Amino acid sequence: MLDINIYKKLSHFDLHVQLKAQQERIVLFGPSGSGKTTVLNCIAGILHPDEGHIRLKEQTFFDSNDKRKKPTPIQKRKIGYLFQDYALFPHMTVEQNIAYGMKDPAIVKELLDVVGIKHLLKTYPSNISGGEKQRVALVRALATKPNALLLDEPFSALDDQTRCECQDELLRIHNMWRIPMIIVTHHLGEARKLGQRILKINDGTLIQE
Amino acid sequence: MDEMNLSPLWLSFKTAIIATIIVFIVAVFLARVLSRRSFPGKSVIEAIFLLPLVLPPTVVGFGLLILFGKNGPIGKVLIEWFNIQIVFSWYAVIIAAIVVSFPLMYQSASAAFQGYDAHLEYAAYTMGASKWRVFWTISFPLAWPGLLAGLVLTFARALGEFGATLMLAGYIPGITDTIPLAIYFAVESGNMKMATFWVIIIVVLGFSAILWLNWWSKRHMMDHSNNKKA
Repeated sequence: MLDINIYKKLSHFDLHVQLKAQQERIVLFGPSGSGKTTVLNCIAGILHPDEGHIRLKEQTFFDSNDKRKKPTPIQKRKIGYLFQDYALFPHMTVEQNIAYGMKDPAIVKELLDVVGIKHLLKTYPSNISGGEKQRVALVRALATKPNALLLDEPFSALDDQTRCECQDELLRIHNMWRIPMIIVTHHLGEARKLGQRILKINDGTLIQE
Repeated sequence: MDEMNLSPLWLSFKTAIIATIIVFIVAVFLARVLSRRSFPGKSVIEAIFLLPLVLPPTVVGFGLLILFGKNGPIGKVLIEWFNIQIVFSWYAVIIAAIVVSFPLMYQSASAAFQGYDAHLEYAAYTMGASKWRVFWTISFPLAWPGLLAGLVLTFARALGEFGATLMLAGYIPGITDTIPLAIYFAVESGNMKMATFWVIIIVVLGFSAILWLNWWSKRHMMDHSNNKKA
């Protein structure tokens, strides 16, 4: 289970988010600049909250009450993160990107079949479409066998048809994987389609569930 | 020209290569550590790093003389503890070359490390990669074009260093006579043939370095923009 309760002072507002997730898809929905990505960055370990705690399964990544414990480094959190711009390594082929943190080749093989990007393995990211990049980034993130998956506006750069296909694939993959997924979006239709729970965030505060 | 002494060529090359290697390692390390961090005093530290770029080389040489002279804080320790005298030695030539060329490498490296998306490194971390692995597999290859440009400029600057070298190392034939010093003292002594020879050598070297860098950068840019298949 993912259990977070974080407080962080930001330049325009204070971020205060509390949520618990079982193996479900939670959508963080809200306007740009409302603190959604900061929440993901805190969970991943890129940023640290000022106060609160972040726990996943039996691991405590951050606990402001335990002053002796340093925040768990990003590398040790076992959290998959799909960045908004996909962050594919431009100097590596799709295959090398996926192999970078791969734990189990069998899982990757299965994922490649699901998302249909096998033919792209020897290609560089600069030569594939937005939808393909999104699929590669998803496979790459899952290849590390993460305990949770964070997705930051994963479909924002895609056209409507590709967006719809990628959303369906994500739902299929979640049915296979059953890990907590936190999806950030400012697109209401997407939030409704993907979220088993939708949390609305505005100026750093959850205002409605 | 009958008694052409080629020692300035070898000395300059030896000095420039050693200085470039040292500067590359130190500047890349510092640039990587500082490039994506902000903390109070960072601007002051960076201003100190870049100072030799804007100061006259004689001022840099004067500062080095104060530091490495017999009674200077570093010079004194080196003489008393290790019996190493810096001033008027080949070490002085290397130190002068390092100090004046360092800003060029630091600036290039700093720009190179800020030139790619930080998410690429974070993505690697989330996949469990260590800092060391991220540096060698992500940061370094992505920054390499900028680092290479810095490397060539550093080498060229180290090769052409004159003012600070003269202040700290003086002109001792066979020991501290780099090409720029050889040119100056050849002109001083009226040996224009010798001066012309060394001028041609250093112009050819500098020109070749820049030409090669431009050619390499263009090729590299084309590799990235073309449909590159493995």
